[in-house]
Amino acid sequence: MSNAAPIKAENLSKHYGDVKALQRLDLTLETGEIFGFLGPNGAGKTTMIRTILDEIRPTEGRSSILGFDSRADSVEIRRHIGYLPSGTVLYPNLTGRDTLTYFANLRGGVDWSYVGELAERLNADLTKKIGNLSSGNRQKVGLIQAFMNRPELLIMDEPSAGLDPLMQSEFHAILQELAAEGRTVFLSSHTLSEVQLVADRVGIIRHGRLVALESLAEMRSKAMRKIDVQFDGPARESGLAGVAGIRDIKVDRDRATLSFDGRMADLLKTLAEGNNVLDIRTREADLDEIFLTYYRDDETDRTEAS
Amino acid sequence: MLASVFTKSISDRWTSMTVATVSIGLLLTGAAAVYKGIDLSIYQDMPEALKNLYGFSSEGGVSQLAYGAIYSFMAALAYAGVAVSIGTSSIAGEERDGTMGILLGNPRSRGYVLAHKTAGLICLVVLGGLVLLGAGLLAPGIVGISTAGTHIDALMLHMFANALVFGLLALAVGGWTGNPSLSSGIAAGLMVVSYLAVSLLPMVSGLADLAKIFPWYYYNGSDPLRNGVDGAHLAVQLGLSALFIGVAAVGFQRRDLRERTVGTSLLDRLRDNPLTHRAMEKLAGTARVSGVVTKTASEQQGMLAVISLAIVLLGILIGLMFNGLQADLATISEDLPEGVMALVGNVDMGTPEGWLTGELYSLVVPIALIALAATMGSRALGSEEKTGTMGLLLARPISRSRIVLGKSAAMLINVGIAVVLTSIGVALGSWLGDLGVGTTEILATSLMAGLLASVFGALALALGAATGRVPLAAFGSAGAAFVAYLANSMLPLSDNLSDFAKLSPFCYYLTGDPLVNGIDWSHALILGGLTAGLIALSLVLFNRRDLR
Repeated sequence: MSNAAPIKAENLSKHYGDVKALQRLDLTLETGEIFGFLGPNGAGKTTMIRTILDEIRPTEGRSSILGFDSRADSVEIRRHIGYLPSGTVLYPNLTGRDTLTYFANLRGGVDWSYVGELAERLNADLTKKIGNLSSGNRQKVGLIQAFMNRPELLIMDEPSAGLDPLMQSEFHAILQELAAEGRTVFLSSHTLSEVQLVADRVGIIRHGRLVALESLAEMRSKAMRKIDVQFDGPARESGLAGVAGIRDIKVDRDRATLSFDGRMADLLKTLAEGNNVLDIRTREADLDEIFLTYYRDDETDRTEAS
Repeated sequence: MLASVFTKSISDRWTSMTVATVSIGLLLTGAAAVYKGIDLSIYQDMPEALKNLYGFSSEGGVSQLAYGAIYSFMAALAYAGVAVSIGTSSIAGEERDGTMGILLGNPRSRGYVLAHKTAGLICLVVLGGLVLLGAGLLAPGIVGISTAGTHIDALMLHMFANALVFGLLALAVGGWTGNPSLSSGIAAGLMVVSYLAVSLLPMVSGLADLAKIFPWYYYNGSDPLRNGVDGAHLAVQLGLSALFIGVAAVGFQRRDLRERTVGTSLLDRLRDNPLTHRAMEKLAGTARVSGVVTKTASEQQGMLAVISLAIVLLGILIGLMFNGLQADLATISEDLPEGVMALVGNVDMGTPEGWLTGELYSLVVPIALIALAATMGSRALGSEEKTGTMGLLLARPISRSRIVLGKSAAMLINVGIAVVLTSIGVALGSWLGDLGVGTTEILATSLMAGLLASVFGALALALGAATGRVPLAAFGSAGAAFVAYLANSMLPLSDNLSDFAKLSPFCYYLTGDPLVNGIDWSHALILGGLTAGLIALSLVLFNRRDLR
């Protein structure tokens, strides 16, 4: 397998007139990782994927996949990857097997015993016409076509749409097996719980900009804590406003709850001033809360901008 | 327009009905203008068979001829055809698209939906009828011809009832079965069969009364244009309509609704049948998906089959008709004014070659082949972009150029198949009718038609490659073909502009009279070169563009 970065985007921008769908995006994936690409609808996830796959051309910047230039070597790139577009649409008049045969013929070198194994694991019916399948069953055919050539890099845009929980976990198991073999997965999603389950590293995109890029562990550790403080008597919060990193503070007579991502020492000092602190409980905020915080910032940006 | 199922049904389809009927109205005005300038005596001498097929009545003035030519035949078929398509989409079409479930998710009964859909269908047919009636009343005035002795209102009333019969038949079959292919197939099939039967059966002695079992008979069997409304015939038409509404109501209430489905082709059925499974598995399955070329070629199998079959049958029929008509045809050619001669291809219909050229090669064959090529060319790239499969296709290690070339090859292959079948049909007709036209020349002329069609197919491909939009590519290439046809027919009539006709691809199609002289290689080269050039242009355009 190639030693080059599975995906490398440099200063990648895509503008549609005044709409900046991607803005100076820099991103490098590491071999063998599962990378979660998170963002709300319309943030630029699909634009990013379509740009690096040469479906659309960047306004600025460049990208490469497995060391091949997205633009010049796009055919070579596609020898080594598996791709599932968002909202998977397949040919309604073909059966699942016809669909896979077609794609296998266009690619060459597909191991049909592996296809059979995938179909069995995902419980996919390949004999029915795609147009007569439910959306989840259609998605399974989409997944198989992405997996079937054992790609070095998998690019999946909202892959678990329509899959039932059992199939989702089977799908995640396959992803993890592939990563364990040294293959790389680029998983675009707006469902955090999915990324949280499988990803090693997370990038968050909004308004076409990459606003965060961290390992899942890092993100959790540095991230926000939820803090409950119990006072002996009514709380005096006068000094708290000055502490950097406090958000969403709520005071209810002798109790205060707050989200905090600043320096703990500053907080403790301020709390102690003029208060008799009885108890402090802190816990790690879960990823959902972190994610929402990023988006809430987003909303603030927008209010400020307007 | 979305206040109820009724208003939505109307807003969904009023454009197709309006476009169809307004076009027919324009055609009628054009036809009236043309007939005004012709010596009409030739029509009196036409053989009964031709008059019946084209709806001419034996005596009468210019207006009757124009109404007869456009309304009795073309308008009635197109008008009823639109009604069939609306009838099909009313119930069965919504089930196929998967929207019936959502519609019935609202607190409305099936009876309510059917009543509104039926009312929508009837209103649209009324709308179309009013447009046609308006055009029928206005056209003679515009052109300045008399309408004495004609009852256009009576003709329109019967034509309206006729469209209603076939539209409601489609609604009834769709309501009973929920199968849109069956619904449009039965209604449109019966429409064409009954039109042909009513036109041709009266010529066969002893079978004239058989025409009465076909609904079309009650439209023009009484010749309402001359004789006014026939109450009994109208009652039959309205009675049939009411019967079909009843069938639709009963059928729709009693059955399970269908889920969203895709159509099943003949190949699919053979593939599912255990007897034919092995052979068909290869043809309908593995062979079909072996690559971009075969898959694309197979997608238009229905259209290819219908077009080819129609040309083959027409080729045989036209060949057989020649001997009976030869004497009359010779006089027609002599009497036709220059302008009309130009429109039918400047041929002497009195010779076998002229007859085949005039009846088949000047218009019917190129229209059919251009329709096939332009459909494939316009859908080649845009339809995969529109449905969203282009991304998946391009996830394979194949270049955009290979996709363009594969799709072009598929188009050329299908046009090639149609060319071969056309040649077979015309050659059969020539042999059966003892016309003595050489097979090589027939093949050469069909090939030239195929090359001509490929030019417009490649133009559609280039438009699709540049924009990714199917309708733009389809209408653009069809419009170009229409303009090119008119340019080649009309410009030579003017001394100053005749050279510009050489810009039209049609100029290189029949000019050398290939049915007599065989293939003109320089013309073939020009058409082939244009096609190749447009395909090369498509490569450039498709490679440069952001996919949709």
